[in-house]
Amino acid sequence: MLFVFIYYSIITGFGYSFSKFRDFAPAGFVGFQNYVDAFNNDDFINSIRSTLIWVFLTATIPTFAGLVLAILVYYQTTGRVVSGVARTILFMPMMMSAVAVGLLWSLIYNPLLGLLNQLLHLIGAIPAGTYVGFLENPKTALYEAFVPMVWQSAGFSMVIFSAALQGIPIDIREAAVLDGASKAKEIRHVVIPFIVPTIVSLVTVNMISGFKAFDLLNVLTHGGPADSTMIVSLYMYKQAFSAWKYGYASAVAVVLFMSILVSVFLFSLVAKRLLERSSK
Amino acid sequence: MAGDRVFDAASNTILVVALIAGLFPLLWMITNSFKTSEEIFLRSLHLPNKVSFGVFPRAWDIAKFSLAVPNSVYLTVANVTYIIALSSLAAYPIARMRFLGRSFLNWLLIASIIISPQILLIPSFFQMRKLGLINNLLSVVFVFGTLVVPFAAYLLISFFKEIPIDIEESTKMDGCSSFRFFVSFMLPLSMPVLSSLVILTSLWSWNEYLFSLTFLQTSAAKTIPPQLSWFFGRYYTDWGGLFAALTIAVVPLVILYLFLQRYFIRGLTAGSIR
Repeated sequence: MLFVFIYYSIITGFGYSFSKFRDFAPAGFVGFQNYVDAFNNDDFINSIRSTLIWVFLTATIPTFAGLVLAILVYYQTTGRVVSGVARTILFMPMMMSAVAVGLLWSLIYNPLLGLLNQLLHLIGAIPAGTYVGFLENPKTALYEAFVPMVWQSAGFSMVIFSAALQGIPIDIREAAVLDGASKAKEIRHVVIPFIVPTIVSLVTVNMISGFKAFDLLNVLTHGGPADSTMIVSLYMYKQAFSAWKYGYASAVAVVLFMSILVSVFLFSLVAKRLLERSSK
Repeated sequence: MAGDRVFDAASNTILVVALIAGLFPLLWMITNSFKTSEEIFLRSLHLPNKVSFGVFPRAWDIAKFSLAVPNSVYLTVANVTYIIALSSLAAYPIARMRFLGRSFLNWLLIASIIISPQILLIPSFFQMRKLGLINNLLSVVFVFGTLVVPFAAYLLISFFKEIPIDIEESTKMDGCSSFRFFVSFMLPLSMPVLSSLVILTSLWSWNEYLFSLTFLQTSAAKTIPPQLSWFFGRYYTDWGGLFAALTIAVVPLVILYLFLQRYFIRGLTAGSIR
C-alpha cells in the first residue's frame, strides 16, 4: 500500500512537474519549463518569503512560549492543582482542527462583532463606531494570522517540556539551591542545559509543521490580503485546483518538498553543534 | 530570596494571563452560540440575555451536519483501522524477523515520516480519479491513512523491539506460529502504545482537511472540516449559525478530552519527541 499510494505518487508527482497538462491529463514533456516559470513568477517568490517567515515563527515562538509556560508551571509553588488546570486548559485547543481554530479566529478578528474589537471598545482604546481591521493590512496580516497558531500549539510544546522537566534529577536542583542559586539562576544554569535535546526536537517538529501549514490559513485568510499570507502550500493548492495549472503546481510542490528536506538537514547540523556544546 | 519573590509574582501573572487567553476564546464562542444574531451583533462580549437553544437545530440543518457527522465517523473508524492494521503488520517483521533488505525497509519507513502531504496531493488526485474514488471516503483513507503509516509503524517498531524475545521463543517451542504469536501475544502486550496510536490517529482523521477538501467535492461526501469551512464561506452573515455550528463541531471533542485527558496527552505526545 505504501508503494502504491505514496512512492508511486511521489514519482508521478516529479513526472508531472516536468509536464504540461490538458483536460486532466499530462500532455507532453516540457523539461524544466515549470520550474523556470515558477522562479520567474513574483507571486511564487513572494510565497516563498511568507513561508520562510511563517516557518521561522512556528519553529521559534510556540516552542519558546511552551518552554516558558512549562517552567512556570514546574516552579509553581501554589501546588499541583494549578499546574494540572493549566495543563488541561492550555492543551485544550490541540483537540480542535486547524479549520475550527481558523474559523473561530476569523470571528475573533471580525471588525464588527469580534472579541478583540469589542475588548478594545470596552477598555476605551478605540472610540465607539471605529474598529481595527485585523487581517486587512498586508504588512501585518501574516503575523496576525500567526497568533491563532500560537494559541493552538503552545500547549503541545508545554506538555512536552513538562515531561522533560520531570526528568531532571532532584539532587541536581537541591545542590543548586544549597549553593544559594536563585530560581532565575537555577533555570539558566541547571534546567535549560538539561532540556536542550527536547528544545532541539521540538524546534524540528514545529518547523516541519510550519511548512505543512495549510488548513489554518486557508480558512482564515485564503492567502489574502494582497497575497500577503499566501504561503507556498496555499499557492500550490490554488494553482492546481483553482487555476488548473497542474504541471506548474507540481513543480511548486516539489520545490516545497525539497525545501523541507534541506531545512531539516541544515537544522540537524546546527542542532548537532548545540547538543555537543551542551553535553560538555 | 527577594529575586525569587519577584519571580513568583511574575510567574503567577504570566500563568493567569495565559490561562485567560487560552480559555476565553472558547468561552466566548460557546456563550455566543446561545444568542440570537442581533444580540451577538450588539454585544458579543456579554453573557446572553436570554438563553436560546433554537439556533442549534437550525445550524445543524443548514450546515448539513446530518451528512458530515456520519461521514466523519466513518472516515475516522476506517482510517484508524486501516492505519493500525497496516502499520502493525509492517512493524512486526521489521522489528522481529531477519530477512534481506530489512534495514533498508526500516530506513525507508523512517525517511517516509518526513513526506509532506502537499507533494502527494496532485498526483494522488489524478490517481483517485482514475480509480473512480473521487467523492468516496476511501480515497482519503488510502492517501491520508497511508501517509500516517510510516509514523505509526515507527512507533510500533520501537515498542515491539522491547518485548523480550524469550516470550516469543518459548511460545514457538509450544508450537505457536509467528502469526499466531503476533495476534495473541504481541498485540495484547502492545496495548499501551496501540491505545496512544488509536487516539492520535482518530484525532488526525477527525480533523483531516487537505485531502478531504480536494477529494470529497459533493456535500453528501464531505466530512466536518471542509463542510464547516464551506458553511462559513456561504452563510457568513448568519452570526448565530456560525457560532452554533462551530460549537457543535468543537464542544463534543472538548468534553471527550476532559474525560480522557490523560490518554489524549499521552497519545499526542507519544513518539513525537524522543
